[in-house]
Amino acid sequence: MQLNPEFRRYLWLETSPQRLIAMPAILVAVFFLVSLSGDAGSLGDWSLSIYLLLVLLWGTRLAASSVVSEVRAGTWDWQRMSAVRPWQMTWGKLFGATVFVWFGALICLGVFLFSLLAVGEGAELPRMIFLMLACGLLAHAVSLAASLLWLRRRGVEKRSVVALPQLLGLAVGAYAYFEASGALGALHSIQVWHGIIFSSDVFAMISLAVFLAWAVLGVYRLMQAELQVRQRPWAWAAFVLFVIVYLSGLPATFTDQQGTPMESLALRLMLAFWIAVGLAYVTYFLFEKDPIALRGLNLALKSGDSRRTLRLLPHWLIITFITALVGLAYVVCVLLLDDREGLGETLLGMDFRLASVLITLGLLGFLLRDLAIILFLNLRGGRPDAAALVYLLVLHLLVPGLMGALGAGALIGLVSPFAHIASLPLQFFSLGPSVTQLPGFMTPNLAQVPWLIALGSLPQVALLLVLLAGRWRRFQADIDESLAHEGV
Amino acid sequence: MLSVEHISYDYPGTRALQDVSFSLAPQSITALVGPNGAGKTTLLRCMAALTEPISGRVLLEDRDIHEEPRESHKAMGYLSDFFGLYDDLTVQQCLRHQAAAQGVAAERQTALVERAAARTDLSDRLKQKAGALSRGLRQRLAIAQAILHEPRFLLLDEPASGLDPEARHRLSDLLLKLRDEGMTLIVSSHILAELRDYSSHMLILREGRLVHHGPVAGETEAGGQAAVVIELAAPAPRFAEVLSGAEGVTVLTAGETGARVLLPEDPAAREVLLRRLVEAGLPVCGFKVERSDLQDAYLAQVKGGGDAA
Repeated sequence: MQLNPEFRRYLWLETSPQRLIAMPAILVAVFFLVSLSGDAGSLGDWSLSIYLLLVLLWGTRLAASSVVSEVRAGTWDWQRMSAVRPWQMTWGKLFGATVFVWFGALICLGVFLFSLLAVGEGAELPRMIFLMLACGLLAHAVSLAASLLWLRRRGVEKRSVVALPQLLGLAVGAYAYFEASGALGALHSIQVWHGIIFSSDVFAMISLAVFLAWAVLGVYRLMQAELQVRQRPWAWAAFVLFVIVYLSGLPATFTDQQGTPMESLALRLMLAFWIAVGLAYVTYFLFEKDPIALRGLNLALKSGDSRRTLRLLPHWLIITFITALVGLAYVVCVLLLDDREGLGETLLGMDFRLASVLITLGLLGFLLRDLAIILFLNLRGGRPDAAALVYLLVLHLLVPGLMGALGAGALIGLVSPFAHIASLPLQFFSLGPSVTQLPGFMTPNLAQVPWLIALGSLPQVALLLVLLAGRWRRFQADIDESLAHEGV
Repeated sequence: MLSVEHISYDYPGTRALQDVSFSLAPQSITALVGPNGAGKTTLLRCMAALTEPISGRVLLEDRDIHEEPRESHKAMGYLSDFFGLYDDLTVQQCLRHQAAAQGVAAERQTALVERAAARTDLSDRLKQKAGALSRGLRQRLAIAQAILHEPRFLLLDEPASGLDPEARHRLSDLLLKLRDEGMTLIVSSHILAELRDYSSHMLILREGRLVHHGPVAGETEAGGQAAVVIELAAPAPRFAEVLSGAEGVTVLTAGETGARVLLPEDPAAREVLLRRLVEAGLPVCGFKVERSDLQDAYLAQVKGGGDAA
């Protein structure tokens, strides 16, 4: 059996005899100094800190730059022209690029585990080993995945193509470590998830393992795309669905004691819909919206090539569809509920079913409006996503703020749905201040809000779709005109 | 057989390739020529399955290479215009990595590394780091990497750019050697002079469109004819008469000191004509098959509008 060629290449590059001697020598010197204090606890703290520094700071840097540096050096085309499979490349990059970091980190891990044994906490060993290794791997996988995504969108020239993915990997790894280690330390605490009771530490470990698997899958899928392996766009959709299910099961106030199972389901679906809306915005900005790929999709549709059509379906379209489906599920669930006076009053003083339908439609409408803005700008070139982000911030923050200040707070729903209905999850899920603590412009005559949102979004969606269609026709015409001009 | 079928490729606001179709003749060297921005690099990257066209397909032995690019790459080598090397690895490590990356079995790797190094005259540099090589040597190492797994098809994008005349000459020899060993090559350049020495076919792209594809004149197809230029050391009034009496010879131009004729590609036909001229007492001092001037052929095709073949 042959060693993974990519891993072997990194072994050649990263593990010179001088480095193999220097790393342990420095670490042993540090630990020797610490051990002079005679406190096994401080030896553990130091080894843990150095482990985290190595893995989260240095490792994420190496992972984020592993492909970027190859593109910059002009060697990536060799890899893309090779017969190395995406899984091989994924593992080769994940463990190869960081092999020297892991060499040092494993020494630190060994010392840390030794210190645990020394203070009589040997029972913690398996969980600590898993936690530390998984958090490091998660950080590296997130950094590598983010750099691959960023690379496809921005090219290699920008410094941010390494810095931002590194930062993201570091943040995710550190968050996962501190959350999970906190759960390990919280004895006898429980986590209720969709009504299932877990002990907090088990839930944290399972969550960490599952998110690590998703991160590695993400790297694999992006590597497939880099290596020109054809793929259908199911993975991101599956991840979004997973996150919706995962997060909507977390709030502890969703117990069946609050109402009937149907009401509990309605509340979960409402939260799921909000999460889906949030993930839709993430999707819109995360993935490239290549107009040429859209043109390819258009051609595939026209030629009736269903395989190619399916393959070229953009993520924004799929996630918007999923969001609409979750919204529809919520509406159907709400419509099936019996009349309940209490819940009806909570929902903005109007029939809660009507309010739910209007708000869901309104949210979907504004989502489509914002998507149309993003796509419109992407058809123009330049830095479309940055421009779109500015426009959306203006629409959702600046304009509502100005309207509130100028006494037109009741009409904010015409521009952005979020200011008004932000109070809903806050009320329902006890996530923040009550309605009475919210700024005045967020609580106008609440009975108008659902209508404002639903009806306000419609003309905007229509206008933006007309503009988008016009821009699309011009984009197509530009290419067709270039053909005519060239006499092709 | 490597075939391109109706490939189109778009960039925002412009079409880089428009309905390009052709097949590479086996064991040929095709010069891919055209002005800057004609779509040469885009075409090569589509053919190497590094970029997917908006429509059309590339077939390798009747299989769409974009369906299974990793498998296709075992039969293809590609050298990018802006290639890079792993500067901190030795030449031998670069080649060994390439062999492993191409899925060459471990027991064959050493032999293939040595063979690729020998083919590119790098055998005495195996322990040298790639970063320490001169530009010409780097180019040879890059070609060694591209041919290491003995692909049947080799795609080279501007391989001679920046090389000195001697290095270009060596490159030319190497490409001819690879062709003679059975490889099919396509070499892009916008400098026609460097392609003249080794190209058997020419493919002209202009503004994303295939303008011409066919054998280079003078590199005739089997059963075709070759142009021969004959020079005399002194004027001979009977020269044209002797030529026109020769069997199978078509006189293109003839004077008292020189002529240009067409005759069958078979070398025996040239031997017969030369013997006849000498036996007729003509003072022959020059007798050579005329290689085409690629630049003239290119300009003729471009000015004439071309005939996509």
